Amino acid sequence: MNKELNRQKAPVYHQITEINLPKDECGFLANKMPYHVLSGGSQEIVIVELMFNAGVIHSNQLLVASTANTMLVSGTRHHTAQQIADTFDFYGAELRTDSNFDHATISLFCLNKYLDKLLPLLCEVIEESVFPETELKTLMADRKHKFIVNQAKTAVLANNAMHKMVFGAHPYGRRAELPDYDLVTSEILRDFHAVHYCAANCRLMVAGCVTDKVMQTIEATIGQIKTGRKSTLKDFVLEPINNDKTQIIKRKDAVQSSLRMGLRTIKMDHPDYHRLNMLTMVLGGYFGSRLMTNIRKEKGYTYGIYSRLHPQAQSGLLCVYGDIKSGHSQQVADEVRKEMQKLKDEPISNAEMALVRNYMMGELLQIFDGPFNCCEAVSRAIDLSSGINYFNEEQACILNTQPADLQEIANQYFDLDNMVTAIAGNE
Amino acid sequence: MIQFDRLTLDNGLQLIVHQDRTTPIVAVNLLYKVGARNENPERTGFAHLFEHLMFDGSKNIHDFDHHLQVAGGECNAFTTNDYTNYYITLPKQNIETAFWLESDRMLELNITPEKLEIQKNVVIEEYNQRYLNKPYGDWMLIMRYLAYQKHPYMWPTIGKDTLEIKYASMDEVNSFFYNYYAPNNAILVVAGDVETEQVKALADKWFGPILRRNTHITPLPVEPEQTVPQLLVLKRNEPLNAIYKGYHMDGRLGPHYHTADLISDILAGGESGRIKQHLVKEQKIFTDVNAYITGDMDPGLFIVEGKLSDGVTYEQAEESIKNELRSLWEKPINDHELTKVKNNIEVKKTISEVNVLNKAMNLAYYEMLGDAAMINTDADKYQKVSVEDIAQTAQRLFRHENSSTLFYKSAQTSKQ
Repeated sequence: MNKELNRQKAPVYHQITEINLPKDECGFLANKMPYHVLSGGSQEIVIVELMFNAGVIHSNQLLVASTANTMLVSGTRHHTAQQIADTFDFYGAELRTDSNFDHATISLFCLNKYLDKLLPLLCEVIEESVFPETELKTLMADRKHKFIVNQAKTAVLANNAMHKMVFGAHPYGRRAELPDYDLVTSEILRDFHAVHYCAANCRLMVAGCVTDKVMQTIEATIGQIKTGRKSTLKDFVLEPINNDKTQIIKRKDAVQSSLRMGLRTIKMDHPDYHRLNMLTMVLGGYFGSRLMTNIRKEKGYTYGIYSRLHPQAQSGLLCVYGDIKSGHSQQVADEVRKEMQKLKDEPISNAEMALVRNYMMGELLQIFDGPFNCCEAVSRAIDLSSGINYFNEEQACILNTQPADLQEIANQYFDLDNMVTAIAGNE
Repeated sequence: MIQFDRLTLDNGLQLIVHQDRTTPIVAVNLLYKVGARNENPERTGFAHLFEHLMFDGSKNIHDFDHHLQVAGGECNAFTTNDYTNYYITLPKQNIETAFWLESDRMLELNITPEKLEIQKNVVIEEYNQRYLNKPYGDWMLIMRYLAYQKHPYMWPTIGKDTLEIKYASMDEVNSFFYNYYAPNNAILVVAGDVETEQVKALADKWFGPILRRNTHITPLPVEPEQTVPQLLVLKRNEPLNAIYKGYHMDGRLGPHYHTADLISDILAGGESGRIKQHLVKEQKIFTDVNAYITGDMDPGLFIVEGKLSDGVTYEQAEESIKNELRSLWEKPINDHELTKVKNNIEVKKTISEVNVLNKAMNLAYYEMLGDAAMINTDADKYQKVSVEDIAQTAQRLFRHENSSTLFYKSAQTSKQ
């Protein structure tokens, strides 16, 4: 037995001062589609992700962008939905569609050895989807059911109310209602698809074991997608936030209340974004954050309460969210404001600064552990900021920011007068 | 092929080291062989409550999270019916911090009645968030009661209800800790850019001094074969009619486990799965349907679930599921379908080997099952399954008397 072991004293830790960022190799395919490659990893797997400017803001009608995206795989001129699903499943591949306010993506995750079997079909679903009426009906029956189930969730109700208050009439604030599901037709989808799903309106990301052979296969398939034209976007106006900044949605049978607080804020390409991101981390971004310490650790009112920045193309959003013990959500909302005010009034201690600095460097190191982990973060930085360089700036910010800087940022951006609060539950 | 070294410390702690030179991150995974199945039937939810207490400070370390975050690390834990798993990922330079933290909380906890009270509240809010405050959130809680008569799988890891957690006392906390959180009841796996000698030295330094404990594990009751089908119709204020069916199946090491797993993929793996194609797209009985296995160590459940389309009756839904299951043995599946689900297993295995944390967790899990080397051989068992195996296993599995059915009858559907 080692008698000299001192368990009171932490082992010496080494500060992480540099992260090995991947090289972002980029260029254009023959059809002018821009591409980015994140190469690495020890397994022969690859992700091919195509991102189109075909998000919610690109359509005047609700649900059109997401439905067009989901239904890419619902049948083409040459294959039925079942044949498509069967082919991707047969090779153990994962084909995912996903859309948000700004973009719509379709991505393929498969073993390298099957890529040449699957890419032609991927191109076919992107270019030659036909949006069959019967498939649309089946999909909408499911989506309506999911909508109805979601309306029974306090988290969904509070989240929607918060977004509506923050973004008003802007597309970011709009939410579909049940009747909207019956207004989407195959024809509308075909029109939307014809305009938005082309090479000039797309960005390709390839991550994983990206060999020359992979790039040749991609050039021979995705590189042949018709060029088309880049989508234009009309100018949206963000009106000042309405006077009504609190909304309570009463749900008698809820056993918990969902609290969502939101504040419109800067975008990811703003020079202060990194520091605001760091401040948001202090507030509620990790387990030891101010909010978790106050509301979970000290009061036990929640399983989790967090704050985060949502990077979006047209406006940033700072959001606080948590599911709270019934009867306490107003009190918790007040506590959130107090914690934010505290960050405006007092600089954080050097110890807390060091803690957050080390934690964030560790987090960054973990994000850049292999091409699959960092794919999503890099993709976002390419679209909304300066690409890989964003993470160089991020590192510099984490290592150099001082408590006084964060206090200044808090005073500039924690605009409590314009922060909205939505609560859904038995309050 | 995942290479690893395996050794046992004098105090009984099992140690596994896997080297992966490609990553700056090291994963430290500590598995305790205790889960909800080991709980006192009057204190269900205890193993999970205990998992929360493990983050509340140990003998020499007041704030676990603080020290880990300072070292740039992340951690979490989960409790299943079979085991409790704690994991840390951190920069490899700071690996010793993980040993310091994990060994201290194996040595002795520092729980006060106040901390216990707060964690009880947090767990109750977790219970509410995950199981009660959303439609159908409690289906598995009810399914367990329908399906099990004797085996402790009859309660979920979160506990039968929140009342039992409220009564947990400090004495119970302490005796649970000394009995189960012992070096001789744990498996430590370290994966990353490390040397076995280096890891062994760290383990000797930090875990070596912890004494072996007199751990007593009560043998678990064996669930008798189900002979009568169970049906529960719940009239609820849920938005839609929904059906959940559970069939008893083999445990993780049982001879038909892998076959049953493949059957679930044939039925609902990917969009091309049979029940998704037949029951949602063609017959439109359901708007959403799924099939999967619980994957427990002891005999677990094969689940089929679905949300009924508007206007479809319970009887029609039940009959359509039965028809699909019956066709697995009446019209044997074709080679194409079998190859498809086997290919999927191959891809899943490749993906599971991408990151060190995943590898560390899997090594610990297979070692608990009996042999960490199964991480390299388990996938072969799927490849050996034949068309006949599928038919025979399906026929034995999906007997009506082996089923438990939960039907949520919506009080709202008449309005739609």
